[in-house]
Amino acid sequence: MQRLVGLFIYSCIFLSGSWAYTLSTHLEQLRERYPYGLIGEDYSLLNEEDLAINTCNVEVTPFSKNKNMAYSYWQCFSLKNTEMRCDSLGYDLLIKKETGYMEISTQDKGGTQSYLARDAMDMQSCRKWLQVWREKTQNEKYVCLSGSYNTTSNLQNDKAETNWVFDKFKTRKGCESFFVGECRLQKHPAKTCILPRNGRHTAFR
Amino acid sequence: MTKGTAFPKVKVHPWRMCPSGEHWVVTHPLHIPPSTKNPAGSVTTRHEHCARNPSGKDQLYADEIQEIDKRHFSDLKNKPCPLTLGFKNGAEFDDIIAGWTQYWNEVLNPDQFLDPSLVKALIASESSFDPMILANKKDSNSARGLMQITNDTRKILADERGELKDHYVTVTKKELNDPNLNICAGIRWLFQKRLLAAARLGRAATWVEAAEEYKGDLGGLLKKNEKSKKDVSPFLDHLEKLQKCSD
Repeated sequence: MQRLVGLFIYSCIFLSGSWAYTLSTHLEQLRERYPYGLIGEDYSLLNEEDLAINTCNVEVTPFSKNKNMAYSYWQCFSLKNTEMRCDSLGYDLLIKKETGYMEISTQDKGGTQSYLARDAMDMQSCRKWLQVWREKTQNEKYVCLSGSYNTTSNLQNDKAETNWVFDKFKTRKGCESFFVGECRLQKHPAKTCILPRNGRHTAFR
Repeated sequence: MTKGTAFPKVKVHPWRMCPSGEHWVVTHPLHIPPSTKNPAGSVTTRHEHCARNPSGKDQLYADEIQEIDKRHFSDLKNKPCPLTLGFKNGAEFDDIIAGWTQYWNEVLNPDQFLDPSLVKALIASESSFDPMILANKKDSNSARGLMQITNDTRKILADERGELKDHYVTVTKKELNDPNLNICAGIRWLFQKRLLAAARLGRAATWVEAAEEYKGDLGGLLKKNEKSKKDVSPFLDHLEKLQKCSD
C-alpha cells in the first residue's frame, strides 16, 4: 500500500513538473524569438505564428506608453472578467445608419483593459462580431487579445483604464481578426516579418 | 484633342490629360467587327486619347489617375512629414499623398487648405499603411485599402446624380487596393466629409473635424461620447507627431 501511495505521489510530482516544464519552455520559446510581443501569460493559446504576424511591417519595441502605437501586443485574460459589447450611438440622420462602437473590455487588479475597434461601425456589423465572439468564447476559460496601444486614463481608486486599438482575439477554438487575413502570416510579404523559428512558415511555401 | 467643339477647351487642373468633360483612355487593343471586306474581323491598336463624358461633368478614371501620378508626383515640394510612425512603410506613400492633396486643394479650392500630414495621419489610423487591407470579407460594403473606402462610398464618388455636385472619381472595388487610386478617391471623400461635418456642426468644419466625420466619430464627439474620444485618439496622436516634425 505504502509503495502504491509513493508511486502515486511520485507520478503526480513528475506529471506536474513536466507540465510546468512544458509551459515554461513554451513561453520561453515564444519570448526568445518574440521578446516583446506578449505581455504576461498566454495560457498556452498562442504560437510563434501569432506573434510573428504582429511583427510584419512594424518597428518591434518593448511595450511603453506613448512610444510605439504601431506594434500590436498580445495579452491573455480569463473570460470570466471579459466581455464584448456593441455600444450604439443611435441612428444617424445624416448618414442614414445606426452606428456605434465594438469594444472588448476586461477587468483586472490594476483596472480595465479596453480594446476598441478602429472607427465607429455600422451596428449590424457589430452584432455579427458579437455572434462570432459568442461562438469562439463559449465554454472557453481564456482569451488572448491583440491590439496596439492607444491611451491610459486614470479612473477612481487608483485604477486605470488602458485603451488599445483592437486587432484580433484568439481562443482554443481559433483566431478572429478585425482585418481579413490578419490571423495568418500568408498575407504578409515574408521580408517585412520576423518569421517563426522553423524558417519560412508553411504559409509562404 | 477632340474635334468639332465650339467652345475653348479648359482643363480642370493643369495636370489633367484632357479638357473638362472628357476623360483619358490609355492605348488599348480595339476589336474591329467582321465586315464584307474583312469577314474575320481584326484587332487594331487604339492609341491613347480623350473620350467625351456623356454628362459633360468632370470624371477621373483609373487610367488618368495613374498617368497623373507617373508624370507629376515625383518632385513635389509640399510633402507630409517623412516620419514612419512606427510602420516600416510609413513613408512609402508620401509622394502620392502630397500629389493628391495638392490636386484636390487646387481643384476644390477650400477656404483652408488640407494638410498632407493630416491625410497621412488618417491613413496610419485607418489601415496602418497596408494597401491590401479589407475590413470584412463577408460584407460586400467592406472598407478597403489605405483610406478604408467602403463600397457605398466608392459608388457615391462616381454617381453623377448623387451626393457629389462635381469632380467624380470612378474606380472599381478591386482598384481600391491600389495605393494611388485609393488615396485619390479617399481625399476626394475627405473633402465631401468636410461638407457633411459642416452640416452636422452648423458652421464651417476644420480639417480635423472632417477627419473625425470620416472616421464616424464626429456625431459621438458632439454627444461627448467617451468611446468616440478614445477612437479618434490614435489619429490625433499621429497628427501631432507629424505636425511637430513639419514645424
